[in-house]
Amino acid sequence: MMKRDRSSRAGGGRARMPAARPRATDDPVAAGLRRLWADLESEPVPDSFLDLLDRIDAAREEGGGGDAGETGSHDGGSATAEAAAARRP
Amino acid sequence: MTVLVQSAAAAEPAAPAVPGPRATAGGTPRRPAADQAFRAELLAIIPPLRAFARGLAGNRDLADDLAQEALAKAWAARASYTPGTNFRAWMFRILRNHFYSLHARSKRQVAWDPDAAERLLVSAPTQGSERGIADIRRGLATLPAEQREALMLLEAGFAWEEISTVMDCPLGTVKSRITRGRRALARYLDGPADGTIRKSG
Repeated sequence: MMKRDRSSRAGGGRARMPAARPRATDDPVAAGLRRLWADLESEPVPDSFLDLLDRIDAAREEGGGGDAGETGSHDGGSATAEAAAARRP
Repeated sequence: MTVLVQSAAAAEPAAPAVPGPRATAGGTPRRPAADQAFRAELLAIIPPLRAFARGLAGNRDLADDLAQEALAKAWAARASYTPGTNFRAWMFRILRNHFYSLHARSKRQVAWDPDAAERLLVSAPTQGSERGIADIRRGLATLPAEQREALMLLEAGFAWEEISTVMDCPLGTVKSRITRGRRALARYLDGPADGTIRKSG
């Protein structure tokens, strides 16, 4: 699922077999990180996440498309500013 | 501009660029198709977003709260996202900013807070790939947060340039964090700290 960047990371995705280069599985750090990530990413998604999307759906059906998903009580107003800051320059 | 977001193609045809800065603010109805596409993006990004949140917070409950709040923020701010641009980087950056703003507000130290289950895992004799993951987790816990983040983002499939966007730092800094993080992890895995359980049958 998350493999899309492997080729570019490996330097262009050429179909060269890793003859001289040590294989990734030989590197315990690379292999460990990859396994850890796969492990975390494959965890089943808790229902609470789907509930959140349900609230979004409900808001959409009401037509207003309001901020139904805003679960945090802390200053929802900063969400837009924060996201705006998150835009690529 | 990077085009790593595969699902962007799906969002593209139905969702022309949002014209106004805040389509919902003045009561202007947003296009349902655009919202639908945005929701699909949110749904698809949940697993990697949770994984990254875990890398930031360590603890599963904290990480899930963090991820949900970030998703809610993203939904609230969807008008500021331009369809077809890098949704993953946009979303991960919201999560990261949210994480650090929470910590700044609570004046707490940004700390890795492992699950109880994970702490158990540390002492339990595990084996095979499971043990490898436990070792890496403990190793990551010893790293400075910015190195841990950079390594996780790389694992998430981001290119280095995208990582510099998400982490809001220069490319050279990203490279150095990744290099130092990997080196420290390698030292940790080689180190004598856990020598007693390194041997597995």
